[in-house]
Amino acid sequence: MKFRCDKSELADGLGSLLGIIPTTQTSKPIFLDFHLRTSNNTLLVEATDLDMGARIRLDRVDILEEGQLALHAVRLHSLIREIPDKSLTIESFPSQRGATVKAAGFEFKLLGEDPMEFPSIPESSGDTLILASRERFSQMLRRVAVAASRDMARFQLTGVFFELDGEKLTMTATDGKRLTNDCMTVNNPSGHVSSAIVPNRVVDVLLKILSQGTEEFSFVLGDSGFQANFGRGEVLAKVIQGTYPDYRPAIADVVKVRVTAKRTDFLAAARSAALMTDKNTATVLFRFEEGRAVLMTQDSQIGESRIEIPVRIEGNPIEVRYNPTYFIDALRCLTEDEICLEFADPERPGALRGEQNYRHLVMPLVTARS
Amino acid sequence: MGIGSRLAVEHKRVLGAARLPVTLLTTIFGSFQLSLSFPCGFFKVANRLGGSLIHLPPRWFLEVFMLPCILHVDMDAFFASVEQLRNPRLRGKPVAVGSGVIASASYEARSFGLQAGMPLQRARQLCPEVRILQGHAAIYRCFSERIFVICAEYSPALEIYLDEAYCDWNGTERLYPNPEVVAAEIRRRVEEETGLTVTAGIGRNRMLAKMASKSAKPNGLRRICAEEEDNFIRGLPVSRLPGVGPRTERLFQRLNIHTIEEMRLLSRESLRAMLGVPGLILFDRCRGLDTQPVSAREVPRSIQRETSFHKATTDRETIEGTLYYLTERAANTARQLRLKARQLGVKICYQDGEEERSIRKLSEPTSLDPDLFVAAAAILRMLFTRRVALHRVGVLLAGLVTEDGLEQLSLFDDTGTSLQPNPEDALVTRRRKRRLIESLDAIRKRYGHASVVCGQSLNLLGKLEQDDHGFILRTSSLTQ
Repeated sequence: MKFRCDKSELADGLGSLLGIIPTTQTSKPIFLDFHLRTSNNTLLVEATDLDMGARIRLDRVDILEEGQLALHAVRLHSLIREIPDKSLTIESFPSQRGATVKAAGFEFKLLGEDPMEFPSIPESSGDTLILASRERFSQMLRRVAVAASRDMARFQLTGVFFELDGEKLTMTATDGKRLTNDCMTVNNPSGHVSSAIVPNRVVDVLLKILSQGTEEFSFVLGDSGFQANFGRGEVLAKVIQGTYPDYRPAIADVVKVRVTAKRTDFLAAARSAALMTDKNTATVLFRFEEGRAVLMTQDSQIGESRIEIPVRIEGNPIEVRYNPTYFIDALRCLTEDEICLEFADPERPGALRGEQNYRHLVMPLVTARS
Repeated sequence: MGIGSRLAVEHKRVLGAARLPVTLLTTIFGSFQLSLSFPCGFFKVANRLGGSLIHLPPRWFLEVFMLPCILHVDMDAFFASVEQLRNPRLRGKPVAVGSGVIASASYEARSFGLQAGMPLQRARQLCPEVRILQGHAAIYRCFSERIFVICAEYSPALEIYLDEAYCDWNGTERLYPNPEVVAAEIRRRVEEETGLTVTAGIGRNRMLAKMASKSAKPNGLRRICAEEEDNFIRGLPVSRLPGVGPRTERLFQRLNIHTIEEMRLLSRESLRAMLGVPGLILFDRCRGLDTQPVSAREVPRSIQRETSFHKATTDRETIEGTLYYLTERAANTARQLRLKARQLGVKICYQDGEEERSIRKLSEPTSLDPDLFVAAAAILRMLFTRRVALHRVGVLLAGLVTEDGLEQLSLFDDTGTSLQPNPEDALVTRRRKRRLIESLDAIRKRYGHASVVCGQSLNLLGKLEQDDHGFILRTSSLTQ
């Protein structure tokens, strides 16, 4: 196998698949490799750990000789990134167990594994694809995924819950203390209804791939797995087998107080307030009054803070305590200039609303004694 | 440069001198345009609109005007003395505590040349009649806690170790015009109430206090006044300086430096080149300077309760019952200290000596027995997999944080699978659970722990003897 290609294109392609490579010890060393093979004058890069796999097609490559290779993923990627030259050539050893990477003044002989051992990633199934706006899908996924749990003790929450109902795609994520939810319209020719929990790792890889390129995006959501096609490649993954809790009652809530504020102001205030807390007292008191919001903290070791920002308020004044980290996370993933906060009472979740349907519920802190 | 950041730079200098958390303030400065003022010693930051205020405690203000004074209390041959106290036959005889090497030797044993860190075999050679005992950490901690309680009565802040304590008497010059009298009072009370002797040293800083007590050992009291500091420290051998161990001492000896006075001849740069950053600390220390503050550790690192079974057992009921009882005792201690745990660990020892332990992060910090036991039981199920009888079981509360009276609400119930049907009800249930446990604590405080037996510890009824203080465990779990 021998090919010549543009350095940055290859580096970007490899970089987007790095999330699949296991970071901990693995039973099969081949999972630490990228599989490179040629097919119809394109270069295919594959990575898998059997739970998920992804394939990327690189077209702007001169294939000089057909063949395949399996090379250590992290090393190959860092090496290519370091090369200053614009183009490079990769040629496999006659034995196929390694390759020579050449660029102006640089030559590496990188040892690899036997490419025949690399597990094959199935080709995309014949299921009907669901078309979605790439930009909107990736924005929605990024905003929702923030709240997904990282605690393996609640494995069914360690992912984003996709629900497809006709033309409507809903995404939900929660870790028990906050919940994000958003929906969008998709083109679903078959109109079938399905749902699946897509693991965090798959979401991370998807987000990375979606941030590059502009091709049309489509996906399939089935019981067996999740499959995403994005023009020059695809991601296939197993989904989490479990029952996602019924979150809807938490969302369908009465709104008694609505607060509108400038996002950047609110973020700066929340950040400053968070600086005055530590793990012992991760609490900020939010007081929403006529025309202003006051953020207050108190810690015997650090000191006190009181931060005021102008807001518009509809409804009666309200006092709520929150962990500031959750609020900062929520504010950070929004892009709107103005945000809206909705409350029912200090012991029910507060909702942060962006444009469209995005909502970010945060559970408050309450006094333990009545 | 914006006015905000210019202020930040300008005041970094001022604040640095005032020993305020500089990084914290500069970060806040970055986000606002500010004005600064110092009304009545408080530090205040306000933004353009005068709306945003940050008050910081005037700690630096106090430090400027206080007279420095530290008391160091050191227990004399602590472990050995406790053993002699527990067994009168050992009094006046050479006693050493430790396994493998000596951890503590009585003064009688020291006269034979025995000292801490010496291998036991060597100790037997030097003094064939020495009684060597295994340590009882739990009992020693019990004694030291009693001594610290006495010290705490006289000190605004206390930094404690197993057999020594630093009392921060900074700013108490009006309360204790003559600190020696108070130190003598502490020593008298310790001897009266525990039967142990302690040595006390008073100095301008921690280092001097410790050196003073060391020079007065055993059963003595010494104060180093500001005037005599220099004379006192000058003639001492370098090894007496805290931070100079055997290796550093050899290094100095090779340079023909034996006393602290000779050490003072070394320049800052040469000490740094010899020893790195610790060299800079020694440069100050050999001049009698020590800036390390006495820091009271308000929150213990962990609370641990463990016990052996009277007879090794495979009976799940007994094991779970004991684990519940230990969890209850640990949680009770945590609640008394107004703490809650973020992590919970379980340890088991099989009869054949094999040991398993695991620690897990709790989903929410808590100090309530039922919540803690759910986690403990889950860990026990995971650990106890061999078909061998258990000899010992223990529970550990770690990652302790202060109880702030606030609780993070959760969207889901305890299992994390279904939504709280009604958050208000869930909150009421939780508050009732807390009230129930607080009531139990109140009853037990008055009538003894055994007055109420609950949860899985009911399994122990009829299997274990009880007195007012609870079940009689083979190994006392009350201090460890």
